[in-house]
Amino acid sequence: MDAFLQQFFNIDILMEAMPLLMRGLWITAQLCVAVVGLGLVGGLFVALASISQRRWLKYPAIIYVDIFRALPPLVLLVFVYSGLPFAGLNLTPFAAVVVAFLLNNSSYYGEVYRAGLQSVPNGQREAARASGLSETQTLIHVILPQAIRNVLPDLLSNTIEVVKLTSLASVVSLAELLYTANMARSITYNATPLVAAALIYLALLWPLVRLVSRYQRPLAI
Amino acid sequence: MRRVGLLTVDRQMRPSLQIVSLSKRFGHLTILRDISLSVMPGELVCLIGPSGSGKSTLLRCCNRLEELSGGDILIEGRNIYSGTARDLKTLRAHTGMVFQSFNLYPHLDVLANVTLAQRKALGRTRKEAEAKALDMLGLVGLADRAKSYPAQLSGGQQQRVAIARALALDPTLMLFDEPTSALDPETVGSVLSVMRNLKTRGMTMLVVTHEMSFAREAADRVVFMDGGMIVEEGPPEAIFGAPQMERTQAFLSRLSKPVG
Repeated sequence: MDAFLQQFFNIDILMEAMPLLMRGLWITAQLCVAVVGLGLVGGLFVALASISQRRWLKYPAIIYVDIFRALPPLVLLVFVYSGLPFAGLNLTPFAAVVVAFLLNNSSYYGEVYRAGLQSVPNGQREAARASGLSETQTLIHVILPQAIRNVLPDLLSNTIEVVKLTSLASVVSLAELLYTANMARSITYNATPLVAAALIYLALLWPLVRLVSRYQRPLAI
Repeated sequence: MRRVGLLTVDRQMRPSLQIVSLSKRFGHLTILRDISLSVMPGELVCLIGPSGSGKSTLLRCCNRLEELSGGDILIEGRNIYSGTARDLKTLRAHTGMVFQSFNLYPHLDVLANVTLAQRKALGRTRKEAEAKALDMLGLVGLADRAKSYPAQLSGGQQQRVAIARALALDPTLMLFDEPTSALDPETVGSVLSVMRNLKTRGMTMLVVTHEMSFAREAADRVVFMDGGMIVEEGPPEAIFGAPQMERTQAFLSRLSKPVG
């Protein structure tokens, strides 16, 4: 038992690794903000394109979503980081991660938004247009607020997935939380930093997971 | 600005709404064929007929919610199917539309429902829009529900809010698409009485309805449609009292017969 605690819950080692873990957490936070923020915006445009009446917008958007939902994000990341330099495009690890996950992510967010947009009855659009609102005004003031509200749990779920996804960035040597934890583990020959990283992820995501569950209670209509 | 002369006379004689040999097809299906109809300022015209006769489609054409296959629609003398997007926006803002299913915005309270288009389409300030909204809500008897959300209102109340929302844009013409068809019987009366009130205030209205008693007693003119065509039109006494066409007679007798 003592050996177990020494190996997984060693306070001394935890204290030693903490500054490193915090630096990793800071990178993870930056990654999340960039990937989630851009993904939420990019996904919206993907969704709007995919339900557009204009074929030259609609079909490319559908193909985009299909491709990047099917490609494993890890493959995508390795390709962007190690493959694109051959095309003369050298990205920093951070930029490579953002680009790769944005491609993956905006297609997932796009599908969520699309479901939301399609859940708003057509009468809403007609009423808004009939009262003289432009297409854009109708979208901003009438359709989107309802669409987003209808798919809020799915947007949150997706965001949780994205936060977890950022741990893949360790494969391109980006010093985010998992990477720093693993580094600390190999320096100290002790698993405590990994346990700490797991607990940090848990502490970050648990409130979000709870929130999703609350929203997903069956709605009385 | 009362001027005596040709211009004034012209204005007075010009129909609010003029539909000229309109036709509408969906693919090979002809929904409306060669419809011509005028509504004069201050007139209340009821469109009646069996379901599928094209009444609602005709009404929706008047706000350009549908595209035409042929013919023209003029509102206040202006062709709504030519002209720029901006023209259409202005025109729509001044043509009030009331839907069967109300289509209030569920995420906004009553006041915001009535002010949205005033602010975004007509460019009124929040203060102006809210004053106007409260005025119009008062007119439909719901000034005390400004802070309620649509889901908290009965169907009849929601429809009255929808009417207030349309009126707040100072329309010259109001289009009603079966405004009472989705309502509980006990709330139908409140909506109809708001519409009667509008008529006494001189509003020009085109109403698609199944409420024959309303058409009989409130309309200046009744238009009977069947199979995408206008079969017969005239004052309510004539249409209901002595219909000339066989199809009108058949329709009206079906209605008066007890079911079963």
